[in-house]
Amino acid sequence: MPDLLTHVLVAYVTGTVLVWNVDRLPRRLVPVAMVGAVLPDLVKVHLVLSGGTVGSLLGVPFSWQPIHRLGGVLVLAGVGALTFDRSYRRATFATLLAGAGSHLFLDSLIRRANGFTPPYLYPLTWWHPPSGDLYLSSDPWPAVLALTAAAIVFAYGRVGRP
Amino acid sequence: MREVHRRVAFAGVLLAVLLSMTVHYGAVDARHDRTAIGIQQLSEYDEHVGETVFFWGRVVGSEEGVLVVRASSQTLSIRTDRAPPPGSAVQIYGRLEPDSVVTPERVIVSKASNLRYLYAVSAVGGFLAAVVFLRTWRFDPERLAFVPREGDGA
Repeated sequence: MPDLLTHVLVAYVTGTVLVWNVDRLPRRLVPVAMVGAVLPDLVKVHLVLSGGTVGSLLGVPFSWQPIHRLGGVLVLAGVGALTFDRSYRRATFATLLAGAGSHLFLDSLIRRANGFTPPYLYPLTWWHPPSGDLYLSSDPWPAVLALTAAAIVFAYGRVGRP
Repeated sequence: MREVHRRVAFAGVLLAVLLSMTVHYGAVDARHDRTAIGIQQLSEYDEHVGETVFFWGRVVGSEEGVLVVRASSQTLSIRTDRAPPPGSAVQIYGRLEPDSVVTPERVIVSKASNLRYLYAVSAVGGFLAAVVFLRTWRFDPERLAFVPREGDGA
């Protein structure tokens, strides 16, 4: 994936611009979208506790990858929405989902040696989309771009908007 | 209190759904990648000699025309003149040969320094999301739920 900062800032920029242009969207949802953008990377738990280890402990095949797929994201957005007060649940579910969806989209643009993105739409389909081959997660330039856009949006929001 | 119990129960159901996906995925994922076999299948190495393999690994060293890579507790020799320093991450896509050798079609390198940058910047990103969120929302101990902080972002 591009680094997590890029993911979070893209959610911030996209969310803020949407809030400016859509009356019904309250500003308080932008931080929710930013948290949503983090959700798929909860899969990184595999760096600390591998799927193989968990599988051996439970005695079943096991993979953390569904967390970084549509199915896992739907579950995590649902669980996340349940932590909000009743009147905000639908909006925060949709927003968490949108943030996580933007994360998966940006990850589909990563350079992969086999030319294919993993099946992010699991369990809907096992389709491996072609990889966008735009950047590596470790490339610094996406974060530079995202920081620039975020700074412009932040400044405009503070100073420029009527 | 009953409302909380219902929420916890619902969350439990959702997490059970996620658990079933993690088990299902672990069982069948390998079957659905038509592009190449993955590193996990190398435990049945001999069955896959001659097939196309794709995996991420770490460089442990290099010799003349060979890059030594460690991936998922396997050590493999990649036939390439590219010699990124130890600690670099690599994506290898190529043909599996006997004796833990791979003839690559494509090698993509992530420098070790860029990886350190990635982890540091990602930590900042996670922290930023948490801070911004908690400046807009607070956890109400009576309702046991997040509510907007007063006077912000109506």
